[in-house]
Amino acid sequence: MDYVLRTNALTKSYKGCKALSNLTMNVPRGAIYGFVGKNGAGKTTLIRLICGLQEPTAGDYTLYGRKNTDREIAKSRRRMGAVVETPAVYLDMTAEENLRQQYQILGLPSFDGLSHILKLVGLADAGKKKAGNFSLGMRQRLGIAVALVGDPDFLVLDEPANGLDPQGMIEIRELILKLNREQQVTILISSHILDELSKFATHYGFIDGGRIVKEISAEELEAACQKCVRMEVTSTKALARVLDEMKVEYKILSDATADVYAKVNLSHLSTALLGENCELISAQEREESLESYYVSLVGGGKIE
Amino acid sequence: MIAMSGYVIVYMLYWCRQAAADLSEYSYSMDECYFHFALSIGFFCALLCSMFFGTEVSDGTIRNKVIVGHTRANIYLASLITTFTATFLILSVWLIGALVAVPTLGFWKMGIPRLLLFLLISVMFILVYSALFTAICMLSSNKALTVLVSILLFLGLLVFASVIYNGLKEPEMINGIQITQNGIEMAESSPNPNYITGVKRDIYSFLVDFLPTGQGIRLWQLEVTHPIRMLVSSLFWTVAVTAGGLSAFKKKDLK
Repeated sequence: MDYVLRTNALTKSYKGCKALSNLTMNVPRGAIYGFVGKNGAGKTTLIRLICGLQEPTAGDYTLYGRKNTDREIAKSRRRMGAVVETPAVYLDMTAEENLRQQYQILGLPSFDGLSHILKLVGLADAGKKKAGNFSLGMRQRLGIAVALVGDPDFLVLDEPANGLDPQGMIEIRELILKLNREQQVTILISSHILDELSKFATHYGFIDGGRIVKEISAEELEAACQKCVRMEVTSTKALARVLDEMKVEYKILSDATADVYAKVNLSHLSTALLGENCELISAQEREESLESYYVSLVGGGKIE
Repeated sequence: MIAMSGYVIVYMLYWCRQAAADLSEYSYSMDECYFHFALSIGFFCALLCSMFFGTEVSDGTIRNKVIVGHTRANIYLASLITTFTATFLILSVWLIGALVAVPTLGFWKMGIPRLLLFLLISVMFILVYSALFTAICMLSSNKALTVLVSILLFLGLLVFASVIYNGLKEPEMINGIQITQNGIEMAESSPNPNYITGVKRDIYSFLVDFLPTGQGIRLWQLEVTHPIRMLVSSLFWTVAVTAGGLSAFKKKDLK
């Protein structure tokens, strides 16, 4: 698989306190990588490191195949845009002036595409209003617009839904999907709104205590979270024989419990099990959401 | 720029007025007032740099440059060049605006070579100010603190240089007066205990030439006796402060 970003045992310490500890993660090209973790888990620290705002204490990372210690890393950074924490915009400038500034920072020869970016983020009508007078949502969109200058291949968004109203969240989601599908932009997004994240992420990285506890694709997560019926029986061997005959998917958890990934007629199943000298003791329907999956991974606690 | 041009015109016209009023008592010349920017230019540089780049750092817009691949060295040096250019423009406004006094005060009596030397010293010490205040701006994350520290540093350097310069200006002998039956009479001259001599005098003299504010005082007073020392000192300051600032900025965690 082709990766945009790979980190290798990345560590960052602040005065003896480890914010990141041997963190290893891989962001595939073309993915929308949802980065999930508690407050203080190290999400923003990792984003700061890969954006070059801070230097790792140990470990390294590669961006488009170039190591962070490589002198040529600047070329890889040219292909990325980012909004880290609060949007970095000039408050005494209009949205258009902010974008012009970013065009100049990038050394682009013309302002082509500027109005398209403003339209894309819904700020085409912002006019001469200064960014200092923008709502939080408008500033967030302006931050994304600034990050989009120069057509980046890799977009890093740190909590982009912060301060957005429901309509704004839908617009940002649609924007992310559009960028990913139409322009094949790889997106690394940290978000605390897991339900929202589950609507568009193609890959997930779960971070806790400064290290990745699980990296999983959306398909794998869906499989892990699919609906099932947890059954308690006197013999899972007998249950397995019956379910094999019924051609039903299942997973044996112990000698007495198994998850069955289908809706089965319990009367028929019970009758079939009796024929195998096995009793059905209980059956409970289960469904795991991204949130419950996350909680089960990191062992509960407050989710950011 | 507009404020500076207004300030220099008003200032020079005041000198013209003084020259016209006191012509018989004191000989005014262009030389005396042309370099009066030398004490205040550091203040303008501190204010301009801390307000401009303080905003870049405190609003986080400096991050946009790092994220898209500009090296920290490039960002730092670009900021230094910008500060120097802006301060140089302010200096130019003064130098050009001050010419309004030419019809009254006439041209410089010091001669063109000395005038050019003074201008070179001026350019070099605004380079020192630019290096100092750029370093503060790049290393501080708080705009208000940046403004405060920059201005306090300038004032501190100015006071320090003034104290040393005043020490050097102490007269060697004191001519006292005494009241006698015949009225007030001049007393015999006695050595001034505050007069600085020997190595200490050399050190004081060196410090005045070494400090950018000291160089400003020298220019104001038209007392440039060691121009090479002043130019080399400015070069040393600029290189040392920029190297130190750049090294620290490269390690700084940007938030």
